[in-house]
Amino acid sequence: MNDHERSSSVDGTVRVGDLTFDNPVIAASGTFGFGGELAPYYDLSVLGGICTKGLTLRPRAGNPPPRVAETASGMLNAVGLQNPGIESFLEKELPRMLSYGSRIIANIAGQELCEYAELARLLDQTEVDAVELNLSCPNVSAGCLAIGSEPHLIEEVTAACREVTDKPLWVKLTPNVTHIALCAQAAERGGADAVVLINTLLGLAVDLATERPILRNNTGGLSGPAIKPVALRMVKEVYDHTDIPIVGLGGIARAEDALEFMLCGASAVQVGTASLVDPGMIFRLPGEMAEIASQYGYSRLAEFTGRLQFWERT
Amino acid sequence: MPVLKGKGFVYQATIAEKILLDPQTALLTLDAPAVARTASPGQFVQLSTSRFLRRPISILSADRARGTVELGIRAAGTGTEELIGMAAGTAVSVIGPLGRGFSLENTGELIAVGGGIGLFPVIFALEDAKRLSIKTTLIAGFRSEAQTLLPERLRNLADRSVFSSDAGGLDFHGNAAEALSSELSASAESPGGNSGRAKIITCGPVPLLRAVAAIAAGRGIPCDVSLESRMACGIGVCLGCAVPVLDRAGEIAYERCCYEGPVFDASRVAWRNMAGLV
Repeated sequence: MNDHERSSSVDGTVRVGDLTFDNPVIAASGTFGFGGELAPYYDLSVLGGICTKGLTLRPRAGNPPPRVAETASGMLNAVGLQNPGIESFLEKELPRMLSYGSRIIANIAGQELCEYAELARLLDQTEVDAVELNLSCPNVSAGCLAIGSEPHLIEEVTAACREVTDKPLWVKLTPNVTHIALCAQAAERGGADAVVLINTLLGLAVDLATERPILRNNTGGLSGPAIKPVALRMVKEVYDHTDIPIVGLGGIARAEDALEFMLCGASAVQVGTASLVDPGMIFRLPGEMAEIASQYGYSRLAEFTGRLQFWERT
Repeated sequence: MPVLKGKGFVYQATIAEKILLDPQTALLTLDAPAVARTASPGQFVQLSTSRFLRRPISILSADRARGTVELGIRAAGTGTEELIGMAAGTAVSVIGPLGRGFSLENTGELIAVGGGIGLFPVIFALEDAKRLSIKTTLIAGFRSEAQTLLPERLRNLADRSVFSSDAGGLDFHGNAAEALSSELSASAESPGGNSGRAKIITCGPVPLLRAVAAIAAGRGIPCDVSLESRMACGIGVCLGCAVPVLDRAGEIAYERCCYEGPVFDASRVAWRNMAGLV
């Protein structure tokens, strides 16, 4: 048996709550548009799922530029949730996204609790497979970061959305907190089907010549390989303290990274910033994960989830 | 674009030739048939370096028969420094051609205004215009006579060419926008004077682009500007490289430099909000 035959015998199917995915690889919100830019070049059905750009009730112009800054092994961004608004999404983007043959997760962001519930309600009767609450965007002046760092608000907003939709509810958590597990437990109490972590780490890039921040928003969200160790630690912490599935992300740039997240407790993974540098990587990932799995003697990718054994304290 | 689905658009390419124009500026010829096949003036490629993000580089010309594209690069930071230091034979990962370039459709006469390294994408447009038998004028702005780029090549590119410099010593004493004004005013036979199908294209520093856009607007000549913005993906998915434009209601909206641009209709650009940008 050659490598390809061996890897194709690995079952990539994973479950996140009641939702089954052909493979654990999902395109992360804000790094894949609505899929239309890459669809002419790649077969999007290869992916387990696609998360939309963050959607708000009304269209948002986003932040003024510069919005991005390169950092060591990563980047900062402060796009500010530029999006056409939920109405335009449902009318123009969703029908096309549904034709891609991949699961569609709608990422929603509000400034207040009631906006999240309204967005969830509007998505309830649509064909999206899940709703991801972005409780963690660091780049808008009011709202979601504040909600995302207060466990009682996380619970409240999750519960408010739970009330208006039967769609699987995923809660995307910010790492800019002291106790990530408390935030995950709050989402669980609110009725979340899964938690997604981590979003970007709040950061600052400085221009020595102008004595100004590089980003017009001053601060931005750090992503890329630089944040992977932080993300792995948080996924493991949440895995040990909650009973709902975890979708892990933060700096995944190759198949090994994705499997490390699964070992730490992730049932599925998202790939974000890596797609900005190598847009083809995410499409190779499911196959490469299967290949590595077969080398380690696994027959199902789902078997990786949560197998990490911490050393005993001495 | 005739790309086979599933094949993607990230290519391994080889640097076929490198010419240093000055210690900070290089022409790289990239052996990249897939890029050369569909490249058009004003488009760019994303090149990998050892840095995290790719670097957007404008295409200076494309030779479909040879399968090569020529890229003009000015060292402006660690990534571009690394690129101009690359020797022939070096392998690089390239994505492209990307973005929306200059439109020469329905153009009877092309007036190209380039400042410094902003001349690079303009060269491609003038070569295309020549192939399409469009009458051409080039206005090339430099800081000084000593800082001209590719002077012989530029001289033979357009039917008429004017080199300008604030420091004097070239055809026109003043900046490229002033040279454009002077050209347009010279006579009824001057560029844009009588064809009715004239178009201005421009690339260079923002103050030059803004001045050229104002001149074009004043004379009712359509104008394409090639803009820059700090860019991450280059392929339209991250919304990082925002350019401020005015929407139909006159409100500020942001478009992607890499996707709706890098070439924009000058009359749509929110110039007041471009100040302070690269």
